[in-house]
Amino acid sequence: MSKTNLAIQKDLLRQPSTITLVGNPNTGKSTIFNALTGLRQKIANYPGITVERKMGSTIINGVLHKVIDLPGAYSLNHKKADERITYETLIGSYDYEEKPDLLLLVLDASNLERNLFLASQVMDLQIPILMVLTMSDIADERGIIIKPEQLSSAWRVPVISVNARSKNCDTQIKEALIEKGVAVPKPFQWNPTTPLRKAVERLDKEWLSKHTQLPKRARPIEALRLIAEGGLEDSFYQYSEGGKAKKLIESLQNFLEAAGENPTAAEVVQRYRFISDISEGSVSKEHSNELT
Amino acid sequence: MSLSDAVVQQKYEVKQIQGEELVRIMEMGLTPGSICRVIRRAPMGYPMEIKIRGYLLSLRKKEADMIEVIPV
Repeated sequence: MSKTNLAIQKDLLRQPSTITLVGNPNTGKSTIFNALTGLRQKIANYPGITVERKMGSTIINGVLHKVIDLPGAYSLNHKKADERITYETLIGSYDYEEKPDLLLLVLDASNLERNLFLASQVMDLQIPILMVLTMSDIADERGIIIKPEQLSSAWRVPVISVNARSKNCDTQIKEALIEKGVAVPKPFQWNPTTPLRKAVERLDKEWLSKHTQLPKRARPIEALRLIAEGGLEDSFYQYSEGGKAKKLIESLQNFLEAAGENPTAAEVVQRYRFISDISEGSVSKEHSNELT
Repeated sequence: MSLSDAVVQQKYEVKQIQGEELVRIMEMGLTPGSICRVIRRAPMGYPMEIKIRGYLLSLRKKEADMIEVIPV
């Protein structure tokens, strides 16, 4: 497939930018962070919670960029403190900190399906992305062969494979950022069912867009979260007309149930369904990799 | 049957998940219709290790109890 259907951006890095690393725990994110920033890093705590956020800087083509390493997360449905930081940073609700200009979305190639779950949520946020596959050597050993080109055309973002432990991993990533660039993924590529899509649109239009300050790109994913949670208990941003939201969420849950979907599970189920389908084209298993 | 009663080496299909932490478990890939295999269990039965979507996941009793499966 041609690259023409990727919305590639290459000029972003001419200006000083904030490059943010995001991915599941244990994907090599911090190794990449260390390689990119060398010793120019500092560690900060997020207010009120004892989770580390690491900041550093790196030079690409003579321009100094800020690099942020977010806590590893399995999902953006932030219930745990560290995942919450990741979510809030990505939707841009920490106002004392710049929004990420571009993301290095780090995925463990030996465990691609579960990693793609978080990735599919992150890609809904419409931030420019370069997808970075790590652990390809382990995947190889298990007979799992990932085709970066296919992954790239399936999700419409540039993809590179790096060995995070190699000495020149920072160079590989910098070269990819220059040569392949980054792309803004299309939101909702995972084909939400029609009822789920309708429910999200209604919550966005009738409440989120009117009674919160959330940026437009973050509202659909927040709508999904609220519908799955069934309420506003866990919200971290200012809003008005909470009573209206509760009623609306309840009626949307009933609407989904009437359509035969479990409101709590609909998003997760559909994302994994899409990921399994897509993985058939971009992942192949040479031999049985069952562990004994 | 519940995944708590599953036998080592046997494959199971996940039917449904119930309980408070339902979403968290499904986010790890245990969605209805997915296939898992029990790899091993600790001497007292828990934690148990299963293989799901190509990776190994450890479950406590509390979590395994929530997962309804059928052997395949």
